[in-house]
Amino acid sequence: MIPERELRELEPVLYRFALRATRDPELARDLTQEALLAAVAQRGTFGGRSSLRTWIIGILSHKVIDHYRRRSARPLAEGGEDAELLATPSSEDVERVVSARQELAAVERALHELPDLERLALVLVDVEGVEREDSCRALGVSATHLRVLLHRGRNRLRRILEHDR
Amino acid sequence: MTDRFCRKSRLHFSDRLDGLKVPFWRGLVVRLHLAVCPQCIRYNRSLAATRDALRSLRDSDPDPDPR
Repeated sequence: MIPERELRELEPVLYRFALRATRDPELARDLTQEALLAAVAQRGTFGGRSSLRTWIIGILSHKVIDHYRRRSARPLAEGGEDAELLATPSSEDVERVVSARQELAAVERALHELPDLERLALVLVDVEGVEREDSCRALGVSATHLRVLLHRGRNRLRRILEHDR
Repeated sequence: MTDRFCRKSRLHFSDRLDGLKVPFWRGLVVRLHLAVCPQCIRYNRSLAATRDALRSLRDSDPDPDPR
């Protein structure tokens, strides 16, 4: 049994995750509520293998991916690999990225320029600190695919932060 | 140092940031390359700073109405 209080305490975390993933406050609220309702309905499947927070973020990730699919009616957007992603930054470029920690709004904006699946992978692993194994389950991808998503997503974000600020 | 070395090494930098194991010989080549290549040192620093910037979002609230 999952105590209602614990679920309520997780609501702000889930909303923040959904807002980062969708950039739409109304939709983020709806997806958060759907994930909480699904968690209550599926509470029997929570085995304690991961934390409650990780488990519900996984449920919410599925809701977000369903939304992406409904919205686009196409395979999920995923950026390609190109030489530009591996380009060498200048010293000034590096300093811009290093100072990005002081300008979180710029990092949030840059995050939203990424393809959907890369953004979701970065929010799961880097922002929320979800373990890779749990992130693979949440995204429905293999470990190799997640490695590629993180490699491309971080590099794409790096290039944006190096040049667009 | 050639671009080919840089490119091959950079494919592993993201994994290294996460402490993932790279096969021994490949890992050795990457470490040696990273010790001597100033371009890759800059690249690696920028990539690590990007990951750190993402981590710093963990305890912050996103813009409440970002549209």
